[in-house]
Amino acid sequence: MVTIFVPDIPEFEPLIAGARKTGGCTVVKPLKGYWQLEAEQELCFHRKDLGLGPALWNSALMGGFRGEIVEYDRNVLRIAEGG
Amino acid sequence: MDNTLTLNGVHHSARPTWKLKETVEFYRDKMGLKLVHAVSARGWGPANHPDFLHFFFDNGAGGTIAFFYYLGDKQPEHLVHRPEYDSDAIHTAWKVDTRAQLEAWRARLENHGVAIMYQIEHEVIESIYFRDPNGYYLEIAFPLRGFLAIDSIDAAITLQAAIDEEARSVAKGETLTKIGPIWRAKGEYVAQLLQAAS
Repeated sequence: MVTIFVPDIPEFEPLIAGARKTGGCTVVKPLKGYWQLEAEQELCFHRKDLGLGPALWNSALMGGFRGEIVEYDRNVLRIAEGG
Repeated sequence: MDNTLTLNGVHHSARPTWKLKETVEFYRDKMGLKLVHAVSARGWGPANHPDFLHFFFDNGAGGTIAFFYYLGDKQPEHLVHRPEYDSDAIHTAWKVDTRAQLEAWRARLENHGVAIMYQIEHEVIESIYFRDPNGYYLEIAFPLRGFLAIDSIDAAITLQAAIDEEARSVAKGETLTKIGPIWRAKGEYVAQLLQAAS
């Protein structure tokens, strides 16, 4: 299981909206102020699809995560099970 | 602990300058901040303290930005401001209430020949950045939102994760250089928080 915890703050709304459109990603509504983005094997996001600028893209995991970062460059964020 | 003990804003923040005329002209004339106070004194305290000026400009909300100018003092190398990320971490960010006010400040500064380095929306604010004649990094920001309860909760977890992860690295004789391990440690703390709540 891979999980990204996303603080429920306005600037991360594009990340939540993008996650809803991502196949295999389950979006769990905020509990204690954190959204949970979950997948069995892997979560993958593309910056341009989310419309995030550099400040938010580079803090997209600031809420914490479970899994292993296997790719995180200027445009792709991929977290896989493990770590 | 006495939780009723609070601070009531900034009286002054202060930095040294070795450019008296340029600094006065920048803050008073280009920025248009009112010069509200100036101390002129013989050196006192430490035996090597030069005679000095200490002057204050109103930067709103009852606060001031202040400078020390030491007569005859040669600027030491370690206080020459280097325009790099770590030195620029020391900066003042003033607040305005609207984007229109931010744009008006940008226009005013540009009209006075002050270069705006960039204007950027980042996290909870939108800001313009520029430098004073000393090279000091300055920012004017328009808050896009206020701080929420979750911001404070999240900040506490972030810093606890960072402190703990750094201690783990030190214990292993390593230096923590990446944010990833902190995010992963934080993930465990947040998971525990949510598990307790569910």
